Amino acid sequence: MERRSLIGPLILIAIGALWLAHNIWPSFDASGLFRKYWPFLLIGWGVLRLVEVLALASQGKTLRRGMSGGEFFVAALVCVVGLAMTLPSHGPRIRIEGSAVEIFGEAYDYPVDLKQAVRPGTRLVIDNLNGNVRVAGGDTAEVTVTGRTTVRSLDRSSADELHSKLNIEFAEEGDRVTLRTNHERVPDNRRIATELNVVVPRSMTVETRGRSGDVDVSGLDGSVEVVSERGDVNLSRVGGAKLSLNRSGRINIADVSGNVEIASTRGSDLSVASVNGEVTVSGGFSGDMSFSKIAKPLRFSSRNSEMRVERIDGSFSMDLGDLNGEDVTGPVRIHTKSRDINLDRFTGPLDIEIERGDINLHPAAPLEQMSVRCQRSGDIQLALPEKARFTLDAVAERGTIENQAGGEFVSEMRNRESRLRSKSPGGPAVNLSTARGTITLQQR
Amino acid sequence: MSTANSNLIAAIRGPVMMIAIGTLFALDQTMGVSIARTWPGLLIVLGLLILAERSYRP
Repeated sequence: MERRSLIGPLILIAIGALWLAHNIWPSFDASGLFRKYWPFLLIGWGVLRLVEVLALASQGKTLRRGMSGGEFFVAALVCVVGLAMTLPSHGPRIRIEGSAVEIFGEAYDYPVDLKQAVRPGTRLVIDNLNGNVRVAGGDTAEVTVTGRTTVRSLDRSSADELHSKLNIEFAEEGDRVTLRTNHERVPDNRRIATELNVVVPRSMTVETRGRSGDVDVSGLDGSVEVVSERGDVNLSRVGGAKLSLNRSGRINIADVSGNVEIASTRGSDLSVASVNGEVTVSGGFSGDMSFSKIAKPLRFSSRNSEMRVERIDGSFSMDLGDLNGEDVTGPVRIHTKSRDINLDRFTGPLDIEIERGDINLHPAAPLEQMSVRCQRSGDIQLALPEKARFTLDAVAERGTIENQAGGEFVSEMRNRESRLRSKSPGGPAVNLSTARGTITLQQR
Repeated sequence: MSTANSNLIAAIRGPVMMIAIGTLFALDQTMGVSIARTWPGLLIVLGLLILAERSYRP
């Protein structure tokens, strides 16, 4: 009789262990591990099967040819899910359409050199489908464009022909000037990319539109608008920023005098620092997000999360598993699914609602109104400032409450529920509750 | 003996292809060598395996 392979059960055990770990420690990022290492799953699987086949062969047993349909299906599923999870951070690296030409063709470069005088208050629109765009503000009254167009083609003459259709130009209409690279005129325009270096008057407002390529803007008093399908975005020393992105790569924004608005369907890393205006972020980000020195409210919304922080003097950062804040000012509102939360030296009212995760709070004096709730499971730890006045109501539906801080409290226990309340009301309300977990009060 | 060898090579075809695919994806992810460039390697590996199998067949 033919022996069945051991790999199926082994994989079941591995998946079970991963999910279990994820459920026990919410910060254990099972999907992140899979995203990073799924190709090695295939390699490991292949090696195990190989060892199995060789062992069977050495014992002179009958060998099964090829892989079973079920195995093939699971392997294909791993590939598809793994690819789908890695694509956003990959950006343009996997791009099958262009690859055939890239392998067989050659790159031909054509220089770009343009100048255009502009009136003050003009808005510059850069319309470049493929390629990196770099914009810098300077003490000048005209827009200077340098760079090069790269055409991938089998030979020089067909590259010339494609390039002749482009005709990179400025178009003026009303108070806006558009720089067009006209890639749309070529049907197979993925083989064309234009890299632009643009110097503009410092007071200008700039808008870039494109499909792929990095955008880099610095030294503008005017604001910047970026519309892009994929690519990194770097903005520094600008008047304001508005980003509408699809699959963004790394986003770095620093030193903005006005507001920042970011919408990304599937982004990876995001860092925003030193903003004098409001910051609004919406969309999904799979990487690290960090915000520091934001003078006005930060709002963040994604499919699972909703957050708002009044002001950030220190930093506020999060990834898929953790959220850390330091020197932030409330009202702080954090509604999310599963994350461990650490808040250090925060002031103002606090409102946290999560499904699972541990919460660690070190508020600065004086204490203000606080409402913290773990809907499913998680520990809550609150380190109280000295001589704090507050009205406590802490409930652990299944769990315990440890009071290491002293004070006048009434403790109740009923079934599996523990409750700790202030004896007499006075001071702001502090409500802590968890469905399953330990609540700890400490004195700092 | 040659039939046994041919069967062995047919049996390791699946695992070897799986390792090859995994390696290409791992290269893509860790070293940035795009799978869009390296995929023809899979055809070569598969071709070699089939050739080896045939050359042993009686």
